[in-house]
Amino acid sequence: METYSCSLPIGPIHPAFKEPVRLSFILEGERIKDVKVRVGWTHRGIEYLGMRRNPIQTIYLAERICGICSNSHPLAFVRAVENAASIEVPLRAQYIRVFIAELERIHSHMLWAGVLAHEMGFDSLLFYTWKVREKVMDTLEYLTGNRVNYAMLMIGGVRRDITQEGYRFIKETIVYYREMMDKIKETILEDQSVMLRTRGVGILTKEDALKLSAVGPTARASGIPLDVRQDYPYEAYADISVKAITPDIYTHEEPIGDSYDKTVVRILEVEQSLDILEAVIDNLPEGPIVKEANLNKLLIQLRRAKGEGVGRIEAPRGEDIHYARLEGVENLHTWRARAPTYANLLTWIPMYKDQEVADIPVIAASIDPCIACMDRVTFVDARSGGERIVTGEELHKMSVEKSRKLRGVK
Amino acid sequence: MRKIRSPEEIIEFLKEKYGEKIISAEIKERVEGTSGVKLRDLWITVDREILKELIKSLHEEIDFLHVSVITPIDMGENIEVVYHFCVYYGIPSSECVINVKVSLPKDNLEVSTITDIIPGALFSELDLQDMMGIKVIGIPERGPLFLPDEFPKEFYPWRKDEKNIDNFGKEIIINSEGNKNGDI
Repeated sequence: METYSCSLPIGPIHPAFKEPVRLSFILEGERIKDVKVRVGWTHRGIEYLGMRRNPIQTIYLAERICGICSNSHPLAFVRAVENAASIEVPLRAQYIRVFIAELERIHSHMLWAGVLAHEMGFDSLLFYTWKVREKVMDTLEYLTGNRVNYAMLMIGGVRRDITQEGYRFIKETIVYYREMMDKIKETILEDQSVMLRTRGVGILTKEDALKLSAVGPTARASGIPLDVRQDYPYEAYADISVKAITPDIYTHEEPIGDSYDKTVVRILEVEQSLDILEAVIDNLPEGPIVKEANLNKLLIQLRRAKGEGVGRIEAPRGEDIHYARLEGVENLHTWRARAPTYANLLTWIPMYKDQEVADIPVIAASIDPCIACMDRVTFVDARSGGERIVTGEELHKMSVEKSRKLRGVK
Repeated sequence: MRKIRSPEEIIEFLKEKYGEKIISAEIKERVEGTSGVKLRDLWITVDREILKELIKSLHEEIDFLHVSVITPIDMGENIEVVYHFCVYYGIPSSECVINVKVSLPKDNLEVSTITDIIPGALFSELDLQDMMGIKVIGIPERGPLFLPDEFPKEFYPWRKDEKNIDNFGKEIIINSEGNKNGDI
């Protein structure tokens, strides 16, 4: 059979990516030879906006960087501002911050499991995991008033306390997930078709992960036990010992960093989050939830403050880092936000080498950029220069067909 | 097993090696949780001449560097660039954030690329070029990364001077209507 190389650009508009991405693939037949990544189509200039507002207003902007990590970005931001202005956080607030962060991790990982199942054509699993995810969304709504954009954080503490009824609700949620996780683990990690589609697909070696400064589950799946919660225990993680999850805990094999290893890490992290939630709820200290409840006083304090600070936290996708600088004026002087995907996007390049076109959706999903909808794909024949538009649906269909072929279903 | 040095020891190591080229070094501390774990960040300001050499020696003699991000800050007369690195990740409660800062005067905005040491710095360096107009010498890819291709040249979103993108529209109005005061 004659093989020829052609280029295959995907994107740029993919509403599901947190950072819009265009991937230009160079193909030889069905094999991917090279890939180029380009981002920025819906860059909203949030940092630019933040530098024209005061730090309290910017918390709400930070919350809107990402719909899924809507606790992670403001948490990193408020920590940066607290470091810059030397503001302490009461203990109870530190625990509540961790509590919301872990609930968010559960919902993010469950959402991701559904997306991966969908990309493989395993839609019954998608519906199942997303049904299970609803419980944590309900808990978040009960505690904060919102399913997303919880508006829980304030510089120097949190905005809402956990009530007695809240405790009951939380305990119920933990029991529910303990039961469900056994089933989910079996359905995802032991399933033959999941194994066939993810094992050995999209490998990121330990060396590449280190060189490209990969973060979060993407790095952990390659066998690097880095986790900001473990290495740099911020807030209540200082009291709860968190151990970075690497896939060998489950597989008892050397981690190879493929899509399966990434799946193992995320599924095990949901269980770890349940342990953390229990530890937090059992040891929740009494006391105030915010250092300065009067926002006018807080603003005056921030207006007088001079300094710079870095806030680092472990978001569901990995290390999230914000830099903030205060210069004794009303507005933030400088704000820099770096989402985990910013660090992980470069890992796509080694991961795509020598993979098949039908695996594009699975590999893209493996670093958790949340592909819910493939926008459109253009095939360009390098020799004739001809171009043909392939919809996201067709690419998805190719992926589903591969799953069926592997399972021997027609 | 990696040898862990405390922030003080890292400062000592760098001062011994670079002497007066280390302009300032500071440790910032934050206490966390009921157990009072201390998180300690290192802030070092260095002379621009030794920046790359210093990063290389951190990478080779301290620990394999993890590049978190690079932040440029417009301070009026000059632009400060902060490299946020992490060392000793993967070891419980041992990670240290090393913030290396250089100051660049606005008439000479150039830094050397560090992607030959750590390829993971690529996106951050492209951002330095696009958002702040700092030329990164030897960067393996051409930008822009986040900004559109047709974004006006010589104007940058994060600048706080006349090269800020806010001034771009004013210039067009002045030119097209002859309105000298530049009101929009």
